[in-house]
Amino acid sequence: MNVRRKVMILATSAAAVAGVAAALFFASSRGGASVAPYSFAPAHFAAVEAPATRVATLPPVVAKLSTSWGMDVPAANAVHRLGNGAAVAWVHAGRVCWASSNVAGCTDPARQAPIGIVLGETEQGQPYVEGLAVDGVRTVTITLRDGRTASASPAANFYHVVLPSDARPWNVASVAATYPGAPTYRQSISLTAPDAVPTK
Amino acid sequence: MGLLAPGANATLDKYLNTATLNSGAHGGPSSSNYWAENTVWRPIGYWFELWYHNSSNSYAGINSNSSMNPYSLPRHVWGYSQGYCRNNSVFTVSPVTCQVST
Repeated sequence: MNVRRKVMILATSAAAVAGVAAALFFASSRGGASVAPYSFAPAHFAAVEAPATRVATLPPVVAKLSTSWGMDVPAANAVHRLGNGAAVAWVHAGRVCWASSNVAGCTDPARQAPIGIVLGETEQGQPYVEGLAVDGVRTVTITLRDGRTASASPAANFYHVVLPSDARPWNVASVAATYPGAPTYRQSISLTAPDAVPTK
Repeated sequence: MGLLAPGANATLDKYLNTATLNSGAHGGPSSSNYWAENTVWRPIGYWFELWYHNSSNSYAGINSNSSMNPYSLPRHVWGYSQGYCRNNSVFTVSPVTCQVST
């Protein structure tokens, strides 16, 4: 076997290994479960199942929201703390539902994205972007229309990015998420300012 | 707009009920109360906003999302106010139900 052929075999083998690794990365974040890449299936959120993130008692907001939404109230040990306590999450009918101090809702398990996106302002008027992040997301970066950026890293499947205080939710141009071994996910945002809301 | 009383301790106002909402249009205002939640149900994939507004022309936390259904804006300290929801997508969306509750 000559040197050129050895190099070709090594290159082919390396490419195959990289391909298998990438396929495994996209196929599942853990446990060999067969779930689609980027999907919002509960299997992509380790903290929503981990014993270490279980809450001891059922947060009242979870019971209240579930009742208001016409859903069964989850058991206390089915609720998990995400984002170092920034949010709680539980699984209802195959969907991840979550609540932070700002918003709450239930996700679509078929969503083909590594992050969910809520753009908003707190009751005190501080603009932010937050949401769920699937296992492996490293950084979420927000770009405003004027070019300014703000970033944060998810903790336990939840991220919260604080925006400059003069920004409004409709000033966000895009949201990007990065993690190793995959292209950056980027979602363009084109919201318009509501006419029924006073200016800041 | 109609007030319903689902239980002894809760009141709700379904201020938009299985309606069609054009692009940019908003539902509301709801009736006024010390609302604790403002919730919208609509098909996933459309950007919708929720907020509260009070008589002194102040508002609390406008928030937008396209990927959750239901999607709620819980409030803890906001006072006597009205709820709004708005279609911020470029499409006409149906069905849309928006509700505030105590």
